[in-house]
Amino acid sequence: MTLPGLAARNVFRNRRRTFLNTIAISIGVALMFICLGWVQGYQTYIYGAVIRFQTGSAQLLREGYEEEAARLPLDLALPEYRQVRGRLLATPGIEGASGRVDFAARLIAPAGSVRLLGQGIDAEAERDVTALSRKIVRGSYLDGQPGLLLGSGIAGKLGLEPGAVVFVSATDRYGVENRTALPVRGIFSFGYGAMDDGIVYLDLPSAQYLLDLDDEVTRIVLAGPGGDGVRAAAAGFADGLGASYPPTKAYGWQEFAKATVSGVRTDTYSFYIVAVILFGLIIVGILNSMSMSVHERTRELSTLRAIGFRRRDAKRLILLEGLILAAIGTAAGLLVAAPVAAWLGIRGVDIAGSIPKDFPVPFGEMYHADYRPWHALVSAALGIGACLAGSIIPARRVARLPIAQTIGGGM
Amino acid sequence: MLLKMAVLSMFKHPKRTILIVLAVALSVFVMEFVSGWIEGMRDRMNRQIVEESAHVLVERTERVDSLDPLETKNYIADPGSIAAQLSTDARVRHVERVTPFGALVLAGSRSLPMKIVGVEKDSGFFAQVPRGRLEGSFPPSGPGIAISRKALDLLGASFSSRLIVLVEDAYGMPSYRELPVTCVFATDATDFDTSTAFVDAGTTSEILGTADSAELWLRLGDPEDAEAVRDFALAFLSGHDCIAKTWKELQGGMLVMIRYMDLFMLVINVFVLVVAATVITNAILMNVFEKQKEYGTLRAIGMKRSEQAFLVLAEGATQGLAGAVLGAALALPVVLFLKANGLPIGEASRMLGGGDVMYFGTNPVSTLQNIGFGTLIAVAGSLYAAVFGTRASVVDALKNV
Amino acid sequence: MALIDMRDIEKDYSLGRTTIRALRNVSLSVGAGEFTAIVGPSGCGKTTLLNLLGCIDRPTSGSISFDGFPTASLGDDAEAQLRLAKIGFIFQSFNLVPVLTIAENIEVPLMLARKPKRERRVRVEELMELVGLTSYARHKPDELSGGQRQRVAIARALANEPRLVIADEPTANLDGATGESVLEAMKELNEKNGITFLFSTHDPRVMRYARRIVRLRDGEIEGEEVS
Repeated sequence: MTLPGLAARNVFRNRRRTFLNTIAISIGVALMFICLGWVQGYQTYIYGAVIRFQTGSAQLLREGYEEEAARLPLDLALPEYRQVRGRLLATPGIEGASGRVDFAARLIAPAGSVRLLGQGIDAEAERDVTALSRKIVRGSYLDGQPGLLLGSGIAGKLGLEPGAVVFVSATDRYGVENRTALPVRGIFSFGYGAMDDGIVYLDLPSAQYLLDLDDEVTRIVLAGPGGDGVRAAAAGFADGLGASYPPTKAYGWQEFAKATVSGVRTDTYSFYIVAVILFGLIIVGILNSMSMSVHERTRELSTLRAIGFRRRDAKRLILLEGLILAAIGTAAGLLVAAPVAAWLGIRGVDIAGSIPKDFPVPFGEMYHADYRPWHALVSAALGIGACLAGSIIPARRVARLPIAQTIGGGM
Repeated sequence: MLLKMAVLSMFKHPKRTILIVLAVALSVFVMEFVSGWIEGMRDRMNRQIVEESAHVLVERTERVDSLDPLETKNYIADPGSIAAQLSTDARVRHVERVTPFGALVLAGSRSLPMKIVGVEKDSGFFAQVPRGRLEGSFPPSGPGIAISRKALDLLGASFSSRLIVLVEDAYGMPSYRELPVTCVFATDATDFDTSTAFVDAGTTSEILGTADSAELWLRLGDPEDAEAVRDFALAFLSGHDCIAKTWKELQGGMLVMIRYMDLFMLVINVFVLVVAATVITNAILMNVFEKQKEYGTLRAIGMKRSEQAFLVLAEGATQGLAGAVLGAALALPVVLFLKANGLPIGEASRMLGGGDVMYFGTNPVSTLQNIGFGTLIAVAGSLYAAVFGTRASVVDALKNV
Repeated sequence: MALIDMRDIEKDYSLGRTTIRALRNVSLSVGAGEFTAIVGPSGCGKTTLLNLLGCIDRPTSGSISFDGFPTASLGDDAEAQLRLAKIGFIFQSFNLVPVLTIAENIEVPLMLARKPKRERRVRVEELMELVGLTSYARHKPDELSGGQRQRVAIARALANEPRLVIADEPTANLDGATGESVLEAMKELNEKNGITFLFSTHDPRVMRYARRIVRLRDGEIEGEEVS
């Protein structure tokens, strides 16, 4: 007979109590595991999509632009784009830099006209910064020629295909409405309604011509290896631009995906709050349960102490019982969660029908959670930790049992 | 006296009683918080439906699939007669001509693309605007524009400034009017404020060169009559190349979000309740087992099993009710505070149908339900404990220490 | 007719995989008005015998009848009803309900018997006076001495005017003088009110009070003495 063996038998003595505790622990562990993977999915897929599709890792804008972004202010453009881009690419921590001009565009086609966001892009530079060039489903990318890229949604509504000519109308920086005719070079699809239905890309020279801009852009989108490091590198660059250049500020990608970030954060914090409540309840439940178990076995435990158990042996016994309970509950929880996790991770959840088309988060057609081994480890650790935490006080009580008084049965 | 015994017994084991009461209270607190959130979303949606937008919307069929919902064509040719016909239905309280159109609003060198809404002078809609009125009057009467403070800041303008409204009229010709700012407002939704401004019907006709209107908005006595009124209207609307949509079709996105939130929160509630139930059941079981000797004595002197079970249930129900009421009492001030001040969760609040902050709501029925559920988990736990507690024979119960 | 008649009673208990025979072939009759002690060493089966006589346990074999009616056919509720109406219990550890006052403890059997409130109040006052504890009515059990608690237990046992009172080692937790005073009180009730008392003891001083002593050893009746 070993201490763990004795602890294991004690755990199964009261099957009902063990069963109830196992349910509580397994629910907590299962929920934790499922939620960790779900939240990781946000980071991996949604944040990744936001960065790859649109925002890049960081952006440089003129100071004040972001505060007035609603009016798409062309008077707050960044000058000397080519030169600035060259210097940015020489900055450590920045691997890609692509200028854009944002403006309110109106597309006029034979089937009708539509207002949407226009973006003049430096097509070659854009390859290093976003996935746009890889999302062309028909036609070709903007390879050094004037033209525009339409989203699959809007192309469908206007009945346009590559090769069709479309008029683009916009108000230039001086308030004059200009119009230019451009061919549709390609149709793109991100699987994200807000972009496929809401943006038209023009080659940068055509956009600058339409808006009467020189070598100016309204933003420079940046990419690099370091995530937040790109913003820091860009901030350092902006500080070194000199007094002759308009004040410029670096922004992290989160600034341009506030709805997404806020939604993910709200979801994530809700999960964590629920997890805290659940594990708090589990700790209290285990504490209660172990206290009762100790109370019932007072005479037995005192007898063990009388025949030679040291205080720490008695303590270890109770902690081991907590650990065994934890192992059972945790294993059960992970077992129950595994098929759910597999389904969420591999098959995903079809949420396209549940989310409004204009929802500002790139969920895509199917949402996939992203499960990592450390999720299981963390969930298991929490389950085990909660059980041990609940067992500490009863274990201490057992260690302090006055043998003579309690060997008769009462406390 | 059995009830008294049950209640007094609770105070004999204060720690365990506190544990059970707090477990129930925590569950009810979580449920109340979550309900408050959902109620807030529902309140906002109801306000939008009841006060701010149409219960039924009538427009030309061609506009439905139009690429540009703000284009200045495909208007209702004879809105007055259609409005008169619609008004014959007793369920219809009010019919109004509303004409949203796209425009560029300019002030000096700055411009802002906006949606301008032409409204009638006694407009019963867009209640959020008069509610958030800062200066001037709404709706604007005569030539003037009602615009938000945020939009004016972007344009570098102010109350009484003159703004240029540049449109493409009904004939596709560029047209503009210079209008004074006669009303400044601020709502709780930045998106709305920076994208929407209002002019009166006369100004709309002048700018667009047509007396036709884009839409007819109907307010009903009961929003639930929307489908029936739509069906009534469709009978004669087809002759005018018009269709009608209900508020459910128009607010589809928000309804989906609320349904999603309902489901999400139900799942959370169930998890919390199940775990709380195991804690509570365990604690009540401990109570029962500790008092086995006492129960054995009472059974020996003539108490029936059913009476013993009643003792256990009464104690559990009392603890459950106390905990549930406590949980609701703790949650209520939090929910009321968030009802008045809102919970700033960033842009997500807009996604969830809120404005810039999420305002909570209260619903007495929902609170009573949550108190009921909280009490129920304690009663359920007690039932389980009562079944097992009364199983023991008198002799076995008396043997307990 | 005997108040209780036991014939050929056997009672077995399982302890894990072992079966212990607590009573072997016991036959015993107890008449109305008796003051009988069941005596024997620890573990001889006294408590088991009293449990069977008090209808809080059932024999493995044999028959028991109370007031001429066989108890074997009684269901759980009917047994409870029998105990409520006809049998009172006094326990070694008093077994009072700690959260109730003395008066309320005494009132419990009356409440279970659905007696009207007024009648309960009157009866409780009578009983408290009987056991000399009127001034302690609002006290809780843990505020009383051992002897006082046992008197409360006696009062409770008498609440519904039972035919039989069963006392399992009623003086075991009391000092000598207190134990004697409790026994005096029981004897007085027996003599004045004709209540049948059956109690177990292994204390010779206590045995002196009994008019009939039934000796038990290893689950069998060894012998009887009548004084």
